[in-house]
Amino acid sequence: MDAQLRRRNRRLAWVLGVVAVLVALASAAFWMRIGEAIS
Amino acid sequence: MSTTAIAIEQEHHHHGRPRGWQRWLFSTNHKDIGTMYLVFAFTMLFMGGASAMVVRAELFMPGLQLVDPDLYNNLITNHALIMIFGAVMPAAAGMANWMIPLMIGAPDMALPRMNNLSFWLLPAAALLMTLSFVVPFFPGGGSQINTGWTLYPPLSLQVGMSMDFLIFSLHLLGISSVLASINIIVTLLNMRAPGMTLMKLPIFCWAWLVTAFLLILVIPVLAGGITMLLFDRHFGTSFFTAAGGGDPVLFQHLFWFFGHPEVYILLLPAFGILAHVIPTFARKPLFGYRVIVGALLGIAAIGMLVWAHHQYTIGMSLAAVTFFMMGTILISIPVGLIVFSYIATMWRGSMTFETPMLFAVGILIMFTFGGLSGIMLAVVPADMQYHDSMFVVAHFHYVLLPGALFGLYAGVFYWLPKWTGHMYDERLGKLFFWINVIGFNVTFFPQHFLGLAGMPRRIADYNAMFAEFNMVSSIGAFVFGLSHLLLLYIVVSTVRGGVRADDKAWEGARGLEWQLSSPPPFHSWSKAPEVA
Repeated sequence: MDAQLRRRNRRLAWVLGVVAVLVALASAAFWMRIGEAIS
Repeated sequence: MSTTAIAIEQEHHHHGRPRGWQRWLFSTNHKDIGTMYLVFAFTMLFMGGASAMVVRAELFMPGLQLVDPDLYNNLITNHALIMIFGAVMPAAAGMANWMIPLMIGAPDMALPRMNNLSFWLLPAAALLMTLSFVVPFFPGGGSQINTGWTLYPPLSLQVGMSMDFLIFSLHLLGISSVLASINIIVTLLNMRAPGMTLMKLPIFCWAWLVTAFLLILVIPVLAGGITMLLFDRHFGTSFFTAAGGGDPVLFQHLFWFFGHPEVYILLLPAFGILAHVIPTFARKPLFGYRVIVGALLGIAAIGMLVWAHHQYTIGMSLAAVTFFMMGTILISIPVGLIVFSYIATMWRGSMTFETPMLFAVGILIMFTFGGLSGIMLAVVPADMQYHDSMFVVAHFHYVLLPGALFGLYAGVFYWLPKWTGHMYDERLGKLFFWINVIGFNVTFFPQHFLGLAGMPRRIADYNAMFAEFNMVSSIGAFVFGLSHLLLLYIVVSTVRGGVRADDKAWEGARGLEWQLSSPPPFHSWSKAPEVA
């Protein structure tokens, strides 16, 4: 694996990891409102 | 897929190949990590199966014979979580590790060290989950986890310390799944061989790409939910405590926002496997490649919007239940497109029925049956009757055993010659299929009648009127369970020896993976093939 590909892999992995963490953080606040709205 | 690979010449690297236990503990090789995933999943399959055997032994006749009601529900919780997180998901991840780099012409997964971490989190999680099961048996260990896999509060707030072990175990399993998903997405997007565009990607890879995105979007929601549960249990918050202004139903929304897509997370990789098995043994190209890719994306998109069909009885507004009912029924369209594409692939093919193909055809019939009872359950007024009955247990086992587990069996038999370099014993493979399928149907078919007659799920004792069907179901379960000893024998004997497999083990097989030797060299595709 060349260095450029390795950098691209790491960059995409970090983006996906940040998305996962944001989903976890957002879920509590977001779902409380959705839960109230539809129940 | 019509691909022509050139430049398959392999460079054999003999440097840096670890030996002994270090080969496994520090492994960054996708095939070794795939093997470890598969061995782990197989071990967990037996543990989860043992729980199910005790459950069916208890239900063999009315009254309480073997276990008390709390332990019965602990076994059910344990069975579900082990099968989902310990057996099916790791087995699918193992196959992804083994096959994705071979299929796309990549030398390894994109992030090999993270791959190692993803796997080695699993044994730690399994240890915590086992502790959550056994801790209540010790003095001061608190009560059993009697919530089922859904962990609904307020019951889960009242369980003893074993619930904390379980929550930490689920956190580790979630981290492992997210890391594995990131690795798979990066591998599929960045590491494909020259010429392999996304629309030339093998369907197994597409199925895993969709599954990996699903995992990244829903596992963190489960993590958020169980973290809030942990806070309610120990840090005085009231997210789910009605007395403190919280709402227990909120947990149900959080759980099922993860839980329903989880069903597709289990199913899609197996659907992907069938897209390779069926064309091979029908000796025809796959029918409807683009339709299948679209259907996989459609299943994922709609599957994330229908979570509350598990909660019809909580008292949602009419508009809400109508939305969830329509959405749920709508999923049958992309699922049906995939099933019809597979049937069309078989149409007028030169079919032979080796073990993987037997499983593939069996899956199409039995999974469709489970899908039909799913449409019954999607209809709100009908579901009010079926809810929490054995009908639901029959339904989801008809979906998940053929849809996920049998799909994985098809994959094991299909790829075992590639993995080991040996052909398995076809006679024993077919015997395993028939015992397995007969055992499965004898176990779960009667449970439809039990549910329709009113037998509730998750209760250890039952009215004498349900005795006959329960006895039949238990006998089927013992046959089904024991048949896995035969699978173990077949796999072990194939690993140890047998007739040598050709590089292209199946006459009708297509794809890059069949151009490598069986088993593939330790460093596969060190020189990328070009795909025409």
